[in-house]
Amino acid sequence: MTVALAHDPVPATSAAVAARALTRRYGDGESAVDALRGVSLEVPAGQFTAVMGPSGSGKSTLMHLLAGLDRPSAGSVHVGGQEISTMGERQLTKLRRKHIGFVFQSFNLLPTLTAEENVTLPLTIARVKRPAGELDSLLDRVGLTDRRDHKPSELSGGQQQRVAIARALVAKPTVLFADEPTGNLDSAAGAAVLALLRDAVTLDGQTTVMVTHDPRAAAAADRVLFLADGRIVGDLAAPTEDEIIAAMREASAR
Amino acid sequence: MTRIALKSLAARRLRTALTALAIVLGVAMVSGAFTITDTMRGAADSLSSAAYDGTDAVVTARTAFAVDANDWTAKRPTVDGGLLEQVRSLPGVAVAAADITDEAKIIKRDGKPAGDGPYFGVGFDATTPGAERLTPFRLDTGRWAAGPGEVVIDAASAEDQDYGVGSDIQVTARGEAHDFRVVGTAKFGSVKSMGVTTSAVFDLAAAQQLFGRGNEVDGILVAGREGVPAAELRTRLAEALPQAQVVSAAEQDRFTLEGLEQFISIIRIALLVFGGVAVLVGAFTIFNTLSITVAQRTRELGLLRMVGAARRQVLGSVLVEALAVGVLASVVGLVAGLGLAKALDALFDAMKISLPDAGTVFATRTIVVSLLVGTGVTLVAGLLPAWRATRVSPVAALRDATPGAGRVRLPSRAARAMASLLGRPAQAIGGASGGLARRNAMRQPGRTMTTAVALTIGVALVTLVTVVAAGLKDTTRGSLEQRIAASHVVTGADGWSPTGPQVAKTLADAGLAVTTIHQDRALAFGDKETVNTFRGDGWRFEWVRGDDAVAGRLGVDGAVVDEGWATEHGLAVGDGFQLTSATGTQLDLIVRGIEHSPVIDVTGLGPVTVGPAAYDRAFENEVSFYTLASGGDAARALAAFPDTKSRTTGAFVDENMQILDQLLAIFYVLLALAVIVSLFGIVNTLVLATFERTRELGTLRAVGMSRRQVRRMVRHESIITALIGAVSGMALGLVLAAGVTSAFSDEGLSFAIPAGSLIAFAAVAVVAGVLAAVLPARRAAKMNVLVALAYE
Repeated sequence: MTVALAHDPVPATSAAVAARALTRRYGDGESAVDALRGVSLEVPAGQFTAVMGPSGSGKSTLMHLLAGLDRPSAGSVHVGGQEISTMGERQLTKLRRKHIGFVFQSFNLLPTLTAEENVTLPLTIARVKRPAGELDSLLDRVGLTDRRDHKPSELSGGQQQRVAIARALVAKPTVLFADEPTGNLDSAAGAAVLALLRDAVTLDGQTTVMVTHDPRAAAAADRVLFLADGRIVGDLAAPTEDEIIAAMREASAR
Repeated sequence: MTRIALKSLAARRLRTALTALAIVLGVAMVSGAFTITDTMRGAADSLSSAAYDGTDAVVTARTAFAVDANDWTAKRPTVDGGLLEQVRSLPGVAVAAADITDEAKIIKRDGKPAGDGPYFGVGFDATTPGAERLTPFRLDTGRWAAGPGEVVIDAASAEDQDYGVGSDIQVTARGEAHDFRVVGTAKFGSVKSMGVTTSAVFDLAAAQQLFGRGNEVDGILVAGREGVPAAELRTRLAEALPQAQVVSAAEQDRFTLEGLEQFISIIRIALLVFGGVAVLVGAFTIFNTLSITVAQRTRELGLLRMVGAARRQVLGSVLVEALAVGVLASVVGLVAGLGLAKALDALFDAMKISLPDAGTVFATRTIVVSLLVGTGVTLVAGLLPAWRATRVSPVAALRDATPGAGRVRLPSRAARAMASLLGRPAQAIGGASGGLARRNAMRQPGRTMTTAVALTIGVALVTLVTVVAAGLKDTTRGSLEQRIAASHVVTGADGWSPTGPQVAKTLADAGLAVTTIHQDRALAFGDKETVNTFRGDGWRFEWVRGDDAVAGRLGVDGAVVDEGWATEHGLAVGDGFQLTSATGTQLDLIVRGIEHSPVIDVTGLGPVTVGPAAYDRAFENEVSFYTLASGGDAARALAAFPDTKSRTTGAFVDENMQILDQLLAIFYVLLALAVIVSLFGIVNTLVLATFERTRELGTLRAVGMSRRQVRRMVRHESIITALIGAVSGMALGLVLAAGVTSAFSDEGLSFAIPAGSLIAFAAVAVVAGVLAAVLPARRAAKMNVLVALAYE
């Protein structure tokens, strides 16, 4: 299942995220629904992975399990070498502080905080100090230096999502999860957001897993996984947009 | 629409319960107040009928004005015992017996008087056939007293002190202790004793001797022949006895049951006032909760409008919700009030205050008023939120609802500023949680303020009472210390009972310098007023006109009057006025000096002071309300007087301060209810806010916030809200107190900021905030991150 890409400098054994035979069943008895039916995968450190699939394919469930937001019915998940599916609430909180960054479709910024405060929120919560220069360069990178004191309500959708990306990057997590990050944005703003995610991977080696149904967004990734009916049905290394569309058609035809 | 409203209530059971609780407490207080006082009144009525029903008429001495039974400064004139034979000879009279009802205290085994008063000392003529129908006392054991040295005591005191027939006990009538043998025990009607009272029943002649009546009696109790109506009997008696006064037993009221009724009325009013405050505070909570609910349901209301609901129907649905909560809360409150009354009844029992078992009186009025108040207030509180709900346009269904994003009005701006300021400590000590809590308190200042206002009301009243009480204590203490120019103060053992002339005489014989304070009632300018006289020079007036020399030279026509009274009647030094005593003696007096009394005069001085010579001419009351002594050991001199208490003037002043403190404590307890109700308001707002901020909470948890930090965040917001309420309440309370004290500044009422108390209130507010946050914080922390993030 492991796909070591030609340009990937990291060996497969040091996977940032690894899942083994994941299944997730909701409900029980006759009304039970299997969202995932045995998914195994490894995301090597520094790789940008996109997960695609039609609605109900299990892609969101997969991401929730990988991020420790949900527990698998069977199987295991490792993040940064630690088994997370058996972790308690406290350990999961620590895991989120150190190893996981989130970008949501609907931005989810705190309305009471300024852009800068939203960005530093994970550090404040974890009581971690970072040099001021680091924050400045992060804000500069997402292009919000002159908007740092604005409240989310005073920012456009694209700007809000850039704040959210900066927030996800600020703690330098082991893996960044992005859930349809361009879903609520127009194409220009979406392109800017994808460029930021791509830069983080290329420049900082930021491991990133992105769930999307937008082929253009998936084309920014190093690798695209296709899910259907709770199983991985395709795994393409650095596909183009056209290849992705073709693969999607093929996946839905099955 | 009604069904939708009720379904939404049922779906949010916790919120409904919390909202209702705010009203439940207030209604419980109201229904409890009615039930307790109705029950007490029922008991009082049953005592009254036991005491007076068998007596059709009472023949007493003619008085110049009506002397109330519970007017304890007045001395009731007596009649000659010889009148009895004349009464007996009149047609229509079946039974007539002479009566004396005065004060006698039963001495306990530890040497102190039993009970807390009244202490009835009764002369009962058991030798007259049929006299038993004229008295409320019913022999429980033994027989009636038949001569000197014999006494019948109330069954409760007997039980308490393990006294019985044959026990040798001591009894005192404001003087030395006398030896008596218990020959019987008696009940007061059906109860062992009437409330906290004690009773000692003597033979008539023994009572005349004990109370120094000579051949006089207080009255003649009469029962008419069968077929003679009581009113007709009284008319006949009045015609035949022009020199006497004929009244009904209830009018004479020798067991001062009217005082009990007045006491019950005061309790009722006090409980109703505090219940009213609690209901008002509850109304704020209802208003706030419904406002938030309407704001949160903007989209749902828009949808209802889009599918064709009329404004009227939307209005109705919110009002139905309010009505349902109001009815539910009122019914629960009504029942809770009944429980409250029962609990208090049990408390009375535990305190050995025996009341006749008249059964709990649960009047229709209690039910109607409680339901009307609870439901009415809830409906009124729901009007504005309901009207706001009708303003929601159908388009709101399509928009992303962002509740509370309206214009920011001035009060909101003030609230935001307060939240910002009072949130600083939270931010400083609470880390990320504290900072977020402060922002959350600031984000909807209107809502924060309405939540806090509920607390403001209670805290403002507490502050007002504290400041005024401190001022009162200050001026009362200063005035007492200034006016009592003696080293010791002697009173009855209970700390307030008057003492008899023997006490002063014994002290004087022991070489002490004694001042006695006597009072009686007189008619002046058409009103009943208390007249004082001082025998001795241990009293210093606070002079407005005149000096200490004036007080010593009042003679037979001089008077010192209170400043307020002088102003009321246009009197200046040198002006004349007239007093009439109860026995009809007139005194022509000239104002020689004007004095100044404090706001609360614990010595209970009346507005007119005359010289002893004038007093002796017109008045008979020889008990001394306070006896001031210097220059010797008063306690040792009074060793033979068990019913006396001697202490230094300083200790006497402290005792009176403690009484004020106890009063203050009762106020605090009653106001605590209002504070508790406002806590429910905070809980409610926090629960609603948590619900509203579900997605934010999910985000916070996703970026690494621990459950503990979430709880701390909610807790800090709660504390900030409580502090806003407390601080604004204290400010309002101080302003009100400044107004009250300045209105009475002439009477020496001072205004001082009680820094220590204010700090304590703030600390209580913080604790209250912590308590209010327990439930909402737990709910917020328990939230499933994934579910929270998916929440729209």
